Amino acid sequence: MTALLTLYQPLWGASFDDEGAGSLGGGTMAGIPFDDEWYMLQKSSLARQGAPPQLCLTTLRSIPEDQPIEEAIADHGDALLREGGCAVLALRLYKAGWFLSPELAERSFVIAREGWRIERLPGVFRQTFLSGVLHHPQPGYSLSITDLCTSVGETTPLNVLMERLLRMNRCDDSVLALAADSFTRSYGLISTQDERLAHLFIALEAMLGAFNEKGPMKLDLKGSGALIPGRIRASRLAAGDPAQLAFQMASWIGKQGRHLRNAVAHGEPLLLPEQDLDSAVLKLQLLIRSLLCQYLAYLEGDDEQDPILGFNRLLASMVGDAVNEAQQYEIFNRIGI
Amino acid sequence: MTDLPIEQLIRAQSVIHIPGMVIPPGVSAVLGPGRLERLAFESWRQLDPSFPDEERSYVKSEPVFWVGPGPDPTEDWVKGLQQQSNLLHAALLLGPHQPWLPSPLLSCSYLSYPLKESGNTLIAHLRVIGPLEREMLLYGSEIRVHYSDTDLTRLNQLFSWLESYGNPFELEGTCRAMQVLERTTRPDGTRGFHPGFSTNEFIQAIPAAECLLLPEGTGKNKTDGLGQQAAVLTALFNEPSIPGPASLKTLAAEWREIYRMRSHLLHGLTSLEALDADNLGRLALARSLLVWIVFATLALDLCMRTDSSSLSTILAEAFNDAEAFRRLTQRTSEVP
Repeated sequence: MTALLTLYQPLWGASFDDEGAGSLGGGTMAGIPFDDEWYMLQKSSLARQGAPPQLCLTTLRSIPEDQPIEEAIADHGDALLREGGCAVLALRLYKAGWFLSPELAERSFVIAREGWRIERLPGVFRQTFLSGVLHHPQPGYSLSITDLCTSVGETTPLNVLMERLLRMNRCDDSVLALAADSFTRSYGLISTQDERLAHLFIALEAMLGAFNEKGPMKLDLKGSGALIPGRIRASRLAAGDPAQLAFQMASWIGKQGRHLRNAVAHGEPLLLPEQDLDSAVLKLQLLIRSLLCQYLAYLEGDDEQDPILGFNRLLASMVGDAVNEAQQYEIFNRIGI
Repeated sequence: MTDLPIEQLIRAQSVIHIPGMVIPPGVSAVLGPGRLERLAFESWRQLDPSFPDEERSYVKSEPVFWVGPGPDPTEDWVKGLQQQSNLLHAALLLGPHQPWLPSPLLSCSYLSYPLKESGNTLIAHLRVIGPLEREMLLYGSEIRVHYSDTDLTRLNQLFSWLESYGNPFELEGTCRAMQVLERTTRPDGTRGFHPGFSTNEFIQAIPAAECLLLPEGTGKNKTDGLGQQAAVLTALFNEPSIPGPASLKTLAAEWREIYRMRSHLLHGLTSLEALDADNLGRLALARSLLVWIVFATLALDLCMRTDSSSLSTILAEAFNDAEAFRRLTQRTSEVP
């Protein structure tokens, strides 16, 4: 006989459009807990303040039926936390929207047998939303049941992304680790916009090299993909943007984006209206989201020593003068979701 | 501004939680016009009755509060409490402790004041609750910084010295550095996938220092300019005697390396994992540089200047001229 050790991660700030639950991939599900389950999860004096049940990620492992929770956490806790971290990153890479990082709110290990055994990992902002007032710094995340797998044999793009993240040990690829870490930091609760921008530009330049270089590690790229805007255009085309929109995004990064990046990098004040800064953060998150997803896809088929160089070569070739439609289609297949 | 009579307001008392601070049991240390204390649960419950059953957690978390006279009764109270919190945080940020504590503004501050109602005098409480709510106050966190009696004495000296200049968060010449020092102690900026290390503080602090030390139009090579000025500040606040030119040049070379490391980290050319032990140790120096800039700006009485060219000029002179360095040492000798 076995029992289940479950890692619960409430996603404060996210919404969900269904009463059921679905699978993200691995052993992780997403759904809104039942009232009783939520009450047990939040059962402390904090719960009396009455926030309704929130969308939760639950990551499961089978354990021997009589295994004490401390021992189960010692055996499986790290693996569950790693998978839970992948699930959070997968959601953020999949689409735009803000929720509070669960490690800043609260994560809990639970064994539900003959009453609940629970070990809490509280974060410093655990109480922030308990009053039920959800003030978040960016538009909230909306997860739909259609994003999740709900029947055997079904696979959604989010499942593919999650499975890629689970297969990829992020720390083995320093570019992916730095870019994903910096991207995640842009989702802070009380961070200022220049902090978010600083992290996002780090992620961008980790993936594409510095603005004044022709590719990362001084990779000498030629043609319109030589500089960052060209490769951004390629990335947006591969993400499905129409040509005009991809061009606009490339122009933005080459002018306003670069200006912002220089101001942030040299500590100059960002003399822009608040809504322009908000918009810049969202644009950069969008760009990095697609770049990271595409790089993850590229890594699946890659056996190069320096995959980030190969990835940049591929992006540059996509907007090169000599590329034809068939070659472009092949590239879409290689790095598309 | 409040409507209450002045004679009631002047008896108001501020109680400000210092998140993450740990002091020895039984200690009540002087800090400016108030004291740092570990309030008993019952005393806190009277200020804030929202968690009446959490005495065990409260006792375990050992929260420390600054208890002192309320803010200027003629000003807005909430603003006054925030200014008091900021000044306390300034002393904590400029002190020698690591990790630096998050702002008291993120946690809980209270103002108690007497209120006459139907002929009776009651004590009323104003609560200013930040985004951490009562989490760090009641349950603590991994941020726990122990202050010994000696640390507390030094903190009080620093607080008194700062108070004589005004609140460095509000002075033109120091506010930018203080804002970066404050921001980089926020819990959501320091947490990531690599607990224990963070580039956040470094990548925020070096650009701010660059902006303060190398104003636009100085025409210097940024790496050399920052290296020289940072070398003077390092020697000024760390060397027991006036350094010779060779010593300053060595320090300047060290800072040039740090500046290059900043470029590599900021432009994604290297990651934390790729840094060796020496470079990891250098990350904390960026923050120290901002602290020394604040000390120098205050001590040299440049805090009302909107431009930073004066500090830049003084430091550049001191790098090239031992006599100028000696004069600088004299002018900054009162920094605690």
